[in-house]
Amino acid sequence: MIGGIPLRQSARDLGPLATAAAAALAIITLFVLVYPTIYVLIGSFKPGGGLLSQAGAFTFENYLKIFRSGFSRFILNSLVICATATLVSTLLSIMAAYAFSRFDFPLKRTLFTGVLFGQVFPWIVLINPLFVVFAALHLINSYVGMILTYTAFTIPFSVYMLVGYLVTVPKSLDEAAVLDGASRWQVIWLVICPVMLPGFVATATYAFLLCWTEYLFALAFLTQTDLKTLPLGLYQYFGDDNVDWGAVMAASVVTTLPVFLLFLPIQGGISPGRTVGAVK
Amino acid sequence: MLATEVYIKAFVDFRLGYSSAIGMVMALVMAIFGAVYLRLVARRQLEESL
Repeated sequence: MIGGIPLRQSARDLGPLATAAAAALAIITLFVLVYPTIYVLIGSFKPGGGLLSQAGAFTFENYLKIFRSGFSRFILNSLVICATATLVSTLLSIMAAYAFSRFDFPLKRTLFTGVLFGQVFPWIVLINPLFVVFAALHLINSYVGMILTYTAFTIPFSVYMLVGYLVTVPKSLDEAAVLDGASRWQVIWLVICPVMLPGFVATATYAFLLCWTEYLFALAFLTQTDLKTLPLGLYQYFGDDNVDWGAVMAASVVTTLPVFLLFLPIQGGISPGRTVGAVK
Repeated sequence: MLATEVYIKAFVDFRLGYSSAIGMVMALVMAIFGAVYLRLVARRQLEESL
């Protein structure tokens, strides 16, 4: 309380002016976030890609055009690279996060500081040395090169996020499993993993999205058209002299769609409270 | 943007050294911000996590 006024007020306690201001701010924010999405979605069904041009016209021509030009290949490439990189990075991060949260070992703090620093490190700095190394190892224009890059790129974030989740899982759960005769591997994969499923799904989702939207590494390491990922495929509709806005809009919708299709069904898995009642 | 400039200098202008120099400046700037972040924000998180 300050001067008899409670510090935290509910929305009901706010004055009408403050409520109106908050509502206006929420509407403006919603407009700024939603308007471009609606513009892209509607524009993808217009011949010229714009909302106002040819207002009555409705066509699937933009979608047909991008799929005729081989856009499905870019979707497949992105899916293979991002899904594999996410899987590898999440599996490695689970083990690293478990070690950080459960064991004491020399240089633990230093190593974890390195993980935290990995989140603010500008990865693009590594593009030149990586290109030279990948060229020597024949990993330019290959799935393996991109998977390695994206795995390394997402591990610091994944480890950090998973350590945050793992500290909420009681250690007594591990101890109970060990007392029952489980090995450390069994503890991780049979006890911790099911309990930590929401954390894994959230981490994997974010790691996948990081890979899905990455552009500069893909631009440098993938020059063959049949290996390009979605962001590179999208850029091909921006010509030197003119831009095919209809195709850009359709390609943008198609780029966004798999993310929704993949993650909406598993959203139910991200529910807290799985450790409630696990130990007495 | 510096990140785009790193790419353009290396892979469009083929000036790998110049591009690497931009990258190093970028890393240095980010190292300063990273050190501030680690000192102010992450230390508490570090204590809670480990």
